[in-house]
Amino acid sequence: MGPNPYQNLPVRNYWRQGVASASPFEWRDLYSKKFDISTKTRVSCAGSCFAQHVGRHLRDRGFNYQDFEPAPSLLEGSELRHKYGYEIYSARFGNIYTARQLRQLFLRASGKFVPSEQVWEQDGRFYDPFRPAVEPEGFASLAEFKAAQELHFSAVRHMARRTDLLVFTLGLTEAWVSRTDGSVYPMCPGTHAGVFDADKYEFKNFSYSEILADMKWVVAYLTRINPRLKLLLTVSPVPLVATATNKHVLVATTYSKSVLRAVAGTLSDEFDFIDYFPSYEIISAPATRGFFYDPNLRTVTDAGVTFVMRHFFSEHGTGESPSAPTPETKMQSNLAKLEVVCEEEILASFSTVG
Amino acid sequence: MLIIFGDSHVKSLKSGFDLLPDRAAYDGAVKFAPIGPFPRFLTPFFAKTSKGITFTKGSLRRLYLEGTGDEGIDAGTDNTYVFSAPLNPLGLLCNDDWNHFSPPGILDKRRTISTAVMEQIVLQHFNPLTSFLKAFIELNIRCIVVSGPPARFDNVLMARKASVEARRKIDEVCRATMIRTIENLGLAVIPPPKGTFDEYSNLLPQYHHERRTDYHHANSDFGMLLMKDILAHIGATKAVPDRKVATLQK
Repeated sequence: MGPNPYQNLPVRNYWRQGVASASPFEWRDLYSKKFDISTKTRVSCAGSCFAQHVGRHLRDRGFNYQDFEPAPSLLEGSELRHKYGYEIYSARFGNIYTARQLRQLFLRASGKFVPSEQVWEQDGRFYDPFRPAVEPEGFASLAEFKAAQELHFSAVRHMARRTDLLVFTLGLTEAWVSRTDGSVYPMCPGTHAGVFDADKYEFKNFSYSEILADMKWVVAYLTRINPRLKLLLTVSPVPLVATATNKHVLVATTYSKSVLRAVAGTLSDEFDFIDYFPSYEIISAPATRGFFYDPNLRTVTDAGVTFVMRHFFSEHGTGESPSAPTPETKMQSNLAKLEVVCEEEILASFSTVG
Repeated sequence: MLIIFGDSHVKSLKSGFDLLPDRAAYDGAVKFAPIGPFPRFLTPFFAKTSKGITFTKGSLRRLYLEGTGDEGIDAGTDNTYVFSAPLNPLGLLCNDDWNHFSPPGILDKRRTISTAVMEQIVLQHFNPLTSFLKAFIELNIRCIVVSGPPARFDNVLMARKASVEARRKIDEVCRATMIRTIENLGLAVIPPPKGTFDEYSNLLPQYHHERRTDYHHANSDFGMLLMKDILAHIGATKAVPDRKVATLQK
């Protein structure tokens, strides 16, 4: 057998040595940073539920985490703050599950897109269709809703200009959109708020090319107004709560994650200022046998999140090795885990199967 | 026995009581215990036992004993307790948050918070006091909540950068939220007497405290009017010594 490219590669390149015969706690070189993140780097976070973990860990480690829509200090306790959408991300976005939602947010905040349906009124309360969970009981008046919306848009514009690193977690390909103008909603109308009307809303499963186009639009938009901006992409390892396709939820999840992972890879390969952090792989790899998932096989355990973030911090700043979390960090993480907000989970309550 | 106790506003109730023309009819039937100041009630301050309620803060315990002769609130008596504190908005009004945030409905350069968030802030702020009132209900002790005087929005202690409109709105939401909460518990609330405040909920000048630099408390005249309302509420306006206690216990 003559010389070939597969000879003398590092251990990480071989499945048997790099994965199968190694404990996941001994995995090395899963991630090599593209650029430095210093404690001065202004970091903002947005995306689907898993991004909350990243933001929380960055904040806890003393990184320069930005909050453009902070809670009043009078509102005490993270549970209550999270209930009203504060301190989950760098502004009160709620979860941004899809790339189209992120694109739409910047378009709306800059006044370039005004959805035909901007508010849902129900029983005298006013709900934001694009972030229904940040005011769970709705706003008390239309004026209050508009004031909050303008404040939010202002925060989004500030974030676009004053962020050095945007951490964005791609969450879903599936969404519900308006038949009238294509507005995309984070949640199906009629779940958290609003009334479902098949004549007004339709299901959309975004394709690779659509998601890539949306993300490229976001990249172009952000770097035009903030040329120094860098992006760190992750893909949420959290499976779909439910699918609206005609596929089994496992098949739909695999499609969704595959597409999102491919988009993140394409962007990371194409742009030197976009990095990809493989939290998805670390959590969902077959070699971990699902032990980073909670018993529901969906949400990620605290130990899993801590483990993932150790890989991250081994490259960014603290120099620690990505070994198993200690009981102490597990406990700290458990406390914080209670506060993760995932609006999509409401879909599980609609199952009629026990 | 009628026990009127709570924050520093109890002092004007006591001086107002002394001005009542028929004050003598209540001799020995009304006791006053100003055990404030108000911030003492914003952190846990009491313990409930099967026999009653005790104050866990030494200063409250001492002042309550001084005013009433009792160590604490005894569930075994037929006393009626009138409590002043759960409608005192000063702690919220003085918070520096209002230099950066605006209450609902106030659109200025600050970050306007929603009504729901504001109500949560109020409920959190007054939580130790709400728990205290719940203890009365759980022990089946008669209790009424009395309001202090309407706020003075020229109070120099209030958040420096908050506009008068913002201060008024904070006061309004604060009072409305707490009145609703207290009434939902099944307790009565005695508001400031009619005619003591203007259309903007400002305490009228004739009821300002005798000391000019006191922007927070009302004077004895205000106290007298509020005492009349308290007594009218209890139905004891014509009590005589023998009937007095029984009347006050209704």
